[in-house]
Amino acid sequence: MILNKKTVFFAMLFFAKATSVFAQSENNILTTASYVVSYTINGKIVINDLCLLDITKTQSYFYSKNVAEASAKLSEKRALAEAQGAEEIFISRDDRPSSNAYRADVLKNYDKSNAIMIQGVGMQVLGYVKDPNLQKKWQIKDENLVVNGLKSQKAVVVKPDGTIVTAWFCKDIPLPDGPFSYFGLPGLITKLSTTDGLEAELTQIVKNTDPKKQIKVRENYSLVTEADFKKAAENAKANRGMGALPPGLSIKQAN
Amino acid sequence: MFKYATLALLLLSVFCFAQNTLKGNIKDENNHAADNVSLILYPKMGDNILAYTSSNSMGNFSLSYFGVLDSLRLEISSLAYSKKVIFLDAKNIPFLNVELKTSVNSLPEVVFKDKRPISKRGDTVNYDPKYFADKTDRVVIDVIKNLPGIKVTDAGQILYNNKAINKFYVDGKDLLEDRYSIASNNLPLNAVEQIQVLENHQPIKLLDSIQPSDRAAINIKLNNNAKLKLLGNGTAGFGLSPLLRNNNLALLKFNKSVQYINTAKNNNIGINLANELTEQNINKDVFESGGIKRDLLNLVQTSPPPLAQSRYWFNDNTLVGCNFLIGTGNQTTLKFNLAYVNDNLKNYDSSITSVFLPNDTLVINESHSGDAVYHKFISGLVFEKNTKKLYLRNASKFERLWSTAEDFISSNNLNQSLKNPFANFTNVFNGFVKVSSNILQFRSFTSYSNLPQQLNVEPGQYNVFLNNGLPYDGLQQTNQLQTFYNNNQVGYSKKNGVFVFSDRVGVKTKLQKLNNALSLQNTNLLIPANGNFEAEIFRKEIDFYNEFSVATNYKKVNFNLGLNLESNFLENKGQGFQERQNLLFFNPGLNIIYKISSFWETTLSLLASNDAKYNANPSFILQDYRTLLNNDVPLNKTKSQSVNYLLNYRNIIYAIFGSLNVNYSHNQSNVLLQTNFNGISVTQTAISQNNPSTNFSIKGNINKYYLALKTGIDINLNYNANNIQQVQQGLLTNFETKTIDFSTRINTKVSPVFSLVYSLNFTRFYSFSKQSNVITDFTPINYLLQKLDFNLFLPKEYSLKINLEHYYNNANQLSPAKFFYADLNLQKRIVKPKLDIAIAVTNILNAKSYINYSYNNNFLINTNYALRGRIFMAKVGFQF
Repeated sequence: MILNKKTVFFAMLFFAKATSVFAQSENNILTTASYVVSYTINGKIVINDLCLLDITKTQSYFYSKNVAEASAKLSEKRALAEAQGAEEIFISRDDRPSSNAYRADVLKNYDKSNAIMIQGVGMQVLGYVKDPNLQKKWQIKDENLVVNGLKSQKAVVVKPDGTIVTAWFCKDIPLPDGPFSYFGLPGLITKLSTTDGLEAELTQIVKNTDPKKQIKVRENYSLVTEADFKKAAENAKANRGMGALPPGLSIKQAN
Repeated sequence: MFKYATLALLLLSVFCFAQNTLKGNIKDENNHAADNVSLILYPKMGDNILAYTSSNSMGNFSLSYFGVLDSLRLEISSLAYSKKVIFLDAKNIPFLNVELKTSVNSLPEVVFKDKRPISKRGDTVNYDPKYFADKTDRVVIDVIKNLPGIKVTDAGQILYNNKAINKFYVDGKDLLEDRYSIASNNLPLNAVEQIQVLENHQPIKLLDSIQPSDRAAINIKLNNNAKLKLLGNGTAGFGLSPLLRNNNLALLKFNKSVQYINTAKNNNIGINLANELTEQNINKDVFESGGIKRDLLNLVQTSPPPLAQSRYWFNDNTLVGCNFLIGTGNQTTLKFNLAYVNDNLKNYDSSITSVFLPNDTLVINESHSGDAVYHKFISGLVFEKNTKKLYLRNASKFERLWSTAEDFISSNNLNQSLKNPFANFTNVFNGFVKVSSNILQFRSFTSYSNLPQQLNVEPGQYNVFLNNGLPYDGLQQTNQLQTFYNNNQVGYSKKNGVFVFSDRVGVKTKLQKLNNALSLQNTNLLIPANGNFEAEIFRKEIDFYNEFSVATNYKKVNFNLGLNLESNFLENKGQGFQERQNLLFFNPGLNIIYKISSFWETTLSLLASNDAKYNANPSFILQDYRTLLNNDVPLNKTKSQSVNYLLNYRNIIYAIFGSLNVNYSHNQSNVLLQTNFNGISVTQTAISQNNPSTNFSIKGNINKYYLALKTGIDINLNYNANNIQQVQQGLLTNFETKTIDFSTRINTKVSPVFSLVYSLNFTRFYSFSKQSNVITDFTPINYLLQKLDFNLFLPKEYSLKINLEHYYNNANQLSPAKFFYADLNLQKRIVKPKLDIAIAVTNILNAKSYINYSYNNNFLINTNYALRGRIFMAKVGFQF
């Protein structure tokens, strides 16, 4: 059978569409869990926020609700300004996220079994794999606790830097996920604390009923090593006040 | 042999603890791979997790575990499939093929309770009442007054960051409107889940993004248990001496469609129950319409001392009230309330008033013993619909007061009595409709009030002026003021880009009829006073007005400009005179809010207003037994300009609140009061003369709560200076008064064994007068008040409360007054049934009097108040 160009074109179009449909379903949010999170250093509360964990079939995305709403508001304002032909937009207090917001996002891939920490550094967005293989080192303890009405079991893991992470997970919610970069337990983490001051507690879990709702991963992030990320962050801190740097330059300086 | 045995043991141990792997694949009923399915391996009969994993995108899984067990239990679960449990023989586990059935599994409910004492979500600040309460707190106001950033005034008004709240909701519903003390004083604390402050709260949903509010509301979130049942709060208390009682009962119900609070209270221990009916927010129209009772005639009495009212208030007070809210669906509510309050009051005070005149000092000695009785009935009916597209509200209110008072001044052998009833009916209709991007508004305010008053004085005064110098039996002054007021307006608001334009057009009508007559009483005959002592006056005021405003939110600045234009027709007529004027006024106002950061905010307000009123009355009125007032002046025109600057700080996370408020106002009137003293009798005549006055004030406040220490500190520093003019004995006199006020309040629950509230208030008061070039400096008066409330929580649910008060007051050439008061309350709490049994001793030191010095311009008033002596009470408090 000889295929003419037109048939090939439509076949490709169909294939492209089918691929896109498949991709869409993979990113569809099945469930969203809400966590109150806090980070305390030397008795000072540095982070005090409400974060969301959107879970799809293959991955999950953890982010600050506050930052996401502020970002959406800003995008709307920018679009409006562009439509009106305005040359500049002003970011008011209401447009900014709270100063105690959790600024990083975490993308977890279940098949790759990794957690990518995504964060804005200077003028660029960088991501790095956080605590590789830590999820395989959980030690499940024979202790139970009811967290906000959910029977939860204790699990502990020690990070390479000595930080002890204590998590309580609920076997009745068969989702191997949790707040920040922590996952891999046989149930959703309902409560978590670390010896360096990070805390999270599950406040809500809802099934998504909107078939079009997908996770929104921060656009155009560059995947780097954790070491490079830290160098970039140090450079960004040093360059603060010296004017904005073009994307990528700060990493170059670090090397 | 030993070697073999060791080897065998080693092999056995390796066998025993060898890692086993269970592999398999999971598919659904359509033979599709089931990925991300959770697998947990347990022993057959236990809950110890041996191993766990999840299936990959192909549905494959691999579980590794150590040990030998007879059999295993594998639990396979996922949100998308039915849970499956498989029992396995541990010794022979083949590759496992599992088929799951697709199923929609519900998620378990998360019952989250925020355990932080203060948290913020958007514009809502949540306070955990359990964190801020102690064991003796019974009703919700006991906790509200100790919350960071919140203050409660003596009248029960709640302030958040020094601004009065605009709504008080119980479970999101506004049952009591502005009489929210009924809820805050009666709602049992154990029914409360959370106290929420809704910042920048706009009560009209339709105006939410159009008209931002700078005021907050409070919402009391009830716990689930409280929503299901009838709540009750009551006290039965009896004591000595004389025979005392304090009984009250409140029944409360809050569910989705019906809310009510019904109360019945009675006491004769000095608790003023009428305070509970105080409206905490009053509309401008209510003031203008005469809806607030302002007496035309008075008894000369002492002003209230700066003491807790219960110490000097000799009462016999009863209050019965009911308040209902019915949700009629679709965000529509119907509310009605009825209240009856009566009191029988007695007072025993004396005062020495020194009036410092240019060439003389007058001294007025008055020793009072008086009785007052009043009965007050109020009722209200409100219909409200509040949606995002429509707001309708009609509120009707009726108030009737029967009031009489008698006072005998033994030092002058004089009787004064006053009948001052009052009646008022008010109806307010308010409507907002959203029509595309415009909002249309309709508003109508109608009020009628009647204030008939009668003052009798025996024996007759002003003998020379009224009775050719001859003594006579008495005087009777009768006044009646009837006021009809109506204000109708229509308006619109339109959002255009970043600007919101609003315009309201209206007409305001005020009709008043004033009758006054003075009669002399001889034996039982009443003879009209001879001269200019009787009048019948009709006043008419018709204002056409246009209120235009433009508001914008530019960068960090909120800008609101108001341009008000008024055309006033004014008329004042009576027998033999008629005055009319048409005037046009322009009253601009500007309000700028600059949001410096998420914590800091600053506001600048500029306001200019012009007004005119006919207050003229050609006749003399006996205002009180020693004041004859004549107000025969032309149209009273007033002009005022004011500047207000506010700097606000608010940090919820660290519970720090602060504010600095600077205000300056300059007022100008064309009427000046001329006072002439003839002995103790005063004749006041209003004259037409330029009369400027100024007022300047600075108020600073810092409020910080240390969460770790459960300790709150509130510090206030205020300064006020004002300047007014009067003509006294024919000389123009400038009076300047300055007040510095420092106060602090510390509340702590640092230990579970005790709680403590300490407050200090220091006021320094200066007064100067200037006549020609003579400046008279009235040496300052200082007030110091310290209070300490100490609660000690003893074992077995006993608690001991000690209240100590110290007052200090001094004035020039008068010996300082120092007073100490102490109260004690021992309470035992019984958990089932919920009872608080207490014995209390009030005024342990048995202080019978309190002396106070105060200045009012060149009047130095030295007052001696009679107090209740030592009181013993036994009380049983109950809640259900």
